[in-house]
Amino acid sequence: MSALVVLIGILYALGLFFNLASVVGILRLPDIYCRLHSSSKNTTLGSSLIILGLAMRAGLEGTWPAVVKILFIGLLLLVVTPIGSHALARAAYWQGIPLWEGTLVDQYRAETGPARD
Amino acid sequence: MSGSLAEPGADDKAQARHISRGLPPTLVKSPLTCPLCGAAAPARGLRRRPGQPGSRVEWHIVYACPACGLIAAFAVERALEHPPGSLPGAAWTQELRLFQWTGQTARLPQERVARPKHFAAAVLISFLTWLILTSSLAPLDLLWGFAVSLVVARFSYRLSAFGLPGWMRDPRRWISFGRLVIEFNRQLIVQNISLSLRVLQPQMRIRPGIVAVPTRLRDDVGLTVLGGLMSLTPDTVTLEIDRARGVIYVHWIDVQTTSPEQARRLISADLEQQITAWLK
Repeated sequence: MSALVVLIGILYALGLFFNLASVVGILRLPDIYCRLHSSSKNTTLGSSLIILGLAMRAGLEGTWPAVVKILFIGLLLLVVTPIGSHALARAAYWQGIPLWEGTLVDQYRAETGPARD
Repeated sequence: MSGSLAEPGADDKAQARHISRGLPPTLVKSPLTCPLCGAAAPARGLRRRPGQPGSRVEWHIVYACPACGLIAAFAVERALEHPPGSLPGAAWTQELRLFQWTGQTARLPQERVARPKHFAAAVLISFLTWLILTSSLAPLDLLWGFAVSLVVARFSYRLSAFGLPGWMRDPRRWISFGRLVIEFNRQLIVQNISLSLRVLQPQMRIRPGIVAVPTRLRDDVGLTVLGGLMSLTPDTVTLEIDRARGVIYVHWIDVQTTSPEQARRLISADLEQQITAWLK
């Protein structure tokens, strides 16, 4: 029982760490495309860990409908986050939001070329 | 697209003349900038797209690039709204679906047609989601849930217009799916640690860039899954998916190579292999 409580605490802590790293990344990275890396990936794992911890806590308390609901929300998060970040990246690109000047290569522009202007 | 456009018969020619007389001369005279090579592609004529009688997009202006052989067909109605010379990016992505790279065998996948059973499936999925999220069986809740499901399905049922694929009925495929999930989780964790360390370092070392990753997948489900997973795994966010050629353009935060084959090996080969095993 108490080992489980400790495990839940560890899950929360790890989740918080990754979400914190995500915030730092969003603040520090230079352009929207790099920031999307932080906002999509780190928050996915961070929130998944917290959700796992919450589900275990609800399981300890015996509220099974809550467990199902929490895990379902976690699943939705896993499905929706990559789609959202893809949509944001694509929309930003077609709106002409510039890449950071340190960007090394843009093969997409090279291949679709003048169409973007 | 030109290959599937009907050769105009006598009636068609008369109708095409009638339509082209009604077009502003600038539209017919101003060439299109070829998106592949940048050359000026003049308008070649009007063609009727078969199978769409009376629809707003029945007639197309055909442009042909003299330098690279690209053929583009714009629906007349759309070309009137956005003269091809001045198309903004967003409109271009719409029209790019009509392009065909001549000399390549890549074909655009057939659009699937949504049927009533897909609508029913969408209602069912929405309703199950509602049941899980509310976890209530009160009659009023059920009634509301059903009403909401109908509305949601009305707007989303076209997305569920693919049949129950073979892999869902085959237990061995579920094992492949399990392997895919494990591989994905491994990559997600590795990726998260590396990204966290990257942004928490005092001196951030990033070498961002947009790279084309060729894949051997052509079907919608496979490309969607791979594109989605690539957003969450090693250092990449999916920017664009070219369905016809199976190329995924990714924003790579630490560009290690610009060679497509090498990029494929570094970024997507493992996941792609798992997805192929799962869907095959």
